Amino acid sequence: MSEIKVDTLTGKTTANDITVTVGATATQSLEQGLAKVWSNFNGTSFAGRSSFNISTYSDNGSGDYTISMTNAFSNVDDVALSANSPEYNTTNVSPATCACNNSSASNIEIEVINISATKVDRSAMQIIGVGDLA
Amino acid sequence: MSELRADTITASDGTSPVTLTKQSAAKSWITSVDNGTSINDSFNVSSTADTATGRQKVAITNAFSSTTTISCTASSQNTTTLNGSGNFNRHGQAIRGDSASEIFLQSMSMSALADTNISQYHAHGDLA
Repeated sequence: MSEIKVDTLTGKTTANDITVTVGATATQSLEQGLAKVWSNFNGTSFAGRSSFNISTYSDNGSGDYTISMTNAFSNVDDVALSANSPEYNTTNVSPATCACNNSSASNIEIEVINISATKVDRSAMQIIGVGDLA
Repeated sequence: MSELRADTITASDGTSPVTLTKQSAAKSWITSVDNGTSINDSFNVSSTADTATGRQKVAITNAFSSTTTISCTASSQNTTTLNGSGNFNRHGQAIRGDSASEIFLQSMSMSALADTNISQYHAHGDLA
């Protein structure tokens, strides 16, 4: 067992291109695999609990949120996002589903819709995004 | 402040996976268009296929070690018109590892399977 302690990893040939071994033989780009943005926030009181690369939250109405990123993605199409919308610390809630997309390279739009096709606030919103930053 | 510059990092035996302290990298992700008929961008994905209404399969280049090691989350929407439009209307995307090298996606419009304009997922777990 060996360990390297370092504050910054940079690609020698290309700054953001470091290959890491991730399986028995499989390798992948370190940069491509790392989450670039994530957040756990209260969609009812509209307070952030924990986040990474998030600057501000905006409430667009019931079940409709915009999250602004500190460091933007390079391209609005080259981003993969997913979101969940459970109720916080509750086991018996009406089902609702969640969809999200980038409305710009630095903004993520999230909507939560219940089984009656009505947008509703949820107290435990979670979002994660990967892709290339600018 | 210290900085390490390298193109490839491998465990000290030269072959094993690298452990990243307090980090876990996604092993596959995609944003696909028109029910998986084309790909906007992806990572560790070889192809996608529109298998039925609201259903698509994503083939993975480097497979996971087993179907039970795959953890996926996803989202989908049927329009890129955003910000309060209420037009996402494709939700409830169910996901599972159909095999160690495929991810199975479903998009729903509340109660029925429905094709979707944009699908996105991430998959975490151990590769083979």
